[in-house]
Amino acid sequence: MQLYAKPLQRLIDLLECLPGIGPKSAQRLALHLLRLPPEQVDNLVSAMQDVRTRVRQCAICYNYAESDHCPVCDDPTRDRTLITLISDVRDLMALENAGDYRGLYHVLGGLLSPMDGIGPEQLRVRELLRRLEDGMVREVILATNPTVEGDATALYLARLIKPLGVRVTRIALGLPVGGDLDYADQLTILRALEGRTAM
Amino acid sequence: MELRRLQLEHFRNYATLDLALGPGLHVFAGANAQGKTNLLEAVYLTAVGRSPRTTHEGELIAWDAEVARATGLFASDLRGEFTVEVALGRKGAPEAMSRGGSAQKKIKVNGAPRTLANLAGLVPVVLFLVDDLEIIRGEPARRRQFLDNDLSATSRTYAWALKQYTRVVEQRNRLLKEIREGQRDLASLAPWNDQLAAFGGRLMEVRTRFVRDLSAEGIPAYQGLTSSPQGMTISYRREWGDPAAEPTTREEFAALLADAVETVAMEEVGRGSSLVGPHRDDLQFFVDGKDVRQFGSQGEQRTAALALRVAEFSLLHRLLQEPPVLLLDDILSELDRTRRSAMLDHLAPIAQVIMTTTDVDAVGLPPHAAVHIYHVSQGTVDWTSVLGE
Ligand SMILES: Nc1ncnc2c1ncn2[C@@H]1O[C@H](COP(=O)(O)OP(=O)(O)OP(=O)(O)O)[C@@H](O)[C@H]1O
Ligand SMILES: [Mg+2]
Ligand SMILES: [Zn+2]
Repeated sequence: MQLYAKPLQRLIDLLECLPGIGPKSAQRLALHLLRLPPEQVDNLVSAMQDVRTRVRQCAICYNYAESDHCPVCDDPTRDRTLITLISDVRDLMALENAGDYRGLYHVLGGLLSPMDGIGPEQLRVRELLRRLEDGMVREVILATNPTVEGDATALYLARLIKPLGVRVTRIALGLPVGGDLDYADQLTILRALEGRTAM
Repeated sequence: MELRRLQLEHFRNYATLDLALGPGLHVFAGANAQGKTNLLEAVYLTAVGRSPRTTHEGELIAWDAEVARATGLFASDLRGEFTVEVALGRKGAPEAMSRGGSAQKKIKVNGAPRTLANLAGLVPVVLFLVDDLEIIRGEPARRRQFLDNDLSATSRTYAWALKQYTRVVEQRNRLLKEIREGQRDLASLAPWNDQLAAFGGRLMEVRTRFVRDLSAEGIPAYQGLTSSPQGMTISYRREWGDPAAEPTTREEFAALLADAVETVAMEEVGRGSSLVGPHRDDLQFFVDGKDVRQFGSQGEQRTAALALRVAEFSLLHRLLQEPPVLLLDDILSELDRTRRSAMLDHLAPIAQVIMTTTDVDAVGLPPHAAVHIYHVSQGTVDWTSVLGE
C-alpha cells in the first residue's frame, strides 16, 4: 500500500535514516520541506553538498576544517602549550560552546574498547605523541567521558604521556557519570566529593 | 512502611484490581494458578520498580493487552502518603512481538516521572519466594545476585558501581582473549586492571559491611524461628588474594585486588577470563558451626533461607528506622507449623505482612494481630473475613 506520492515517500524514508529522527518527525520534516520557498531548498541542498566536498580533517588536531588547519589551530591567540584530548568532534564543539577554553584540541577518534575491537592503534595516539615531541606542550587535559571506556582511555594515555614530562590532568566533574543520565544527579555529586584525581 | 492501596490494570491475569489494605497481616488464599504470586509480584514491582521473577517485563502485561499498570499507595512515618505507578508497554509492533519479551517502562512517584535508579530505597520491602532456597543451596552466582539485588535496591551508588564493574570485566575478558591470541600485549591490560580494582574495591567494601550487619541479625532470626539457642551466621568469602588479609575500606580492597591481579595474570590470559574480584566471591551460612549448604538437612536449609529474609527485614528495619513491607509467598510449603507461627508471631505485630497460601487453615495464624483473609480466584480478589480485632 502506498500512502504518499513516490518522491515524498522517498524523502520521508531518507530522513528516517538520520539519527534521532523517527517516522513521525520524518513525516513532519518532509512536509515542511515541501512547503519551503525554492531558494531555501536550494540553499539547503548546496549546504549539504558543501560539507561533503569542502570539509576535511585538520592535519593537526583532526577537528573539521575547510583548509589544512581548522579555525582553532589557525587562531594565533590560542594557547599552544595546552591540549585537550577528546574522543569525538562533538565533544570539541561542546567545549567550544562553553566558551572559556583557550588551548588546542586533539580528537582521538574513539575510546579504547576491546569489545568493539578498538585498541590504541585504532585511535590517533601516534599523532598525539608527535605533537608532544617538540616540548612546546606543557599540559594535556584528558576530557574523555567518565564511562568505563573513557576512563580506560584516560588511564592509558596518562601512563604514556607522563614520562614525557608533560603535566596530565583529567576532567570529570559536571559530566554525567557512566554516560547514563539515569544516575547523573547523585553520582556527579559523589565524584565531585571525591575530587579531581591527579594522574 | 505500609501499602494502603493497590490498583492494577492488565497486569498478568488481573484485568483490573482495586484493593484497599491496612496494617496487620493479610492472607491471600486460593488454589494453584489463580494469581496469588502475581499479586505479590505487583506489590514488589511498585516498591522496587522491577519484577522479582523475570527480566522480560513484557510477560507482566496481560496477554490480551498492550499496556499494564500497577499503582501502589504507600504510607510511611517519614514521608507520609505517596503513590508509585509503574506502567509497562509492549516494545515494537504488537503483531511482530511474541507475547512476553521486553517492555517499555515508565515509573512515576506522585505523578512525576522517576528513573528506576532514583526509586532505590524509597519503599523498603522484603520478599520471600519459594525459590529462595536456591540462595542457600544453589550456585555462588545465585548468592552474588542476592547481594547485588539487595544492595542495588537500596543504594544508587552501588547500582552504578556494579554496572561499571560488570562492564570492566566484559571488556577485560575480551582483551585477555586477544592477548592469548597474540593480538595485543600484556601491558594493554593496565588501564582495565586499575578500574577492576577501583570498582571492585567499592563493591567489596559495601558487600562486606552489609554481610557483617546481616550476620548479626541472622543469629536472633534463626533462634526465633527454631526456638533453639543456635543462631545463623553469614560470612563473605573470597577465594583469591592473600587469605590472611582483612581489608575493610574501599582502598584496602582495591589494593588487595590489584595485587591479586598481578599474580594471576598469566593464568587469566591462558583461560581468557578474569579470575579474581567480587564477581568470583561467595557467601557462606553457618548454623552451630557447620556450613548449611554442605551439611544442613533439607529442613535446616529451608529455615536458613527464611532466617536470611528475616535478618534482611531486621537489618532494613534498623537502618531505615521503619519496618519494611514483608511479602511472603507460600511459606507453607517451606516450614513446619511451629516455625511458621514463630515467624508470624514475631513479625506480624511489627510490620505489615502480605502473604499467600493455598490453605488458610494450615497457616497457624497468630492470635493477637489483626488478620485479613482474602480469596483469590482467576484474577479476582474477594475479601472474606477479618479475625482477631
Ligand atoms: N501476562 C499474563 N496474562 C494473563 N495471564 C497470565 C500472565 N502471566 C501469567 N498468567 C497466568 O497467571 C496464573 C499464575 O498466577 P500465579 O503465579 O499468581 O499463581 P498462584 O496463584 O501463585 O499459584 P500457585 O499456588 O501455583 O503458586 C497462570 O494461570 C498464568 O497463566
Ligand atoms: Mg504462586
Ligand atoms: Zn585543528
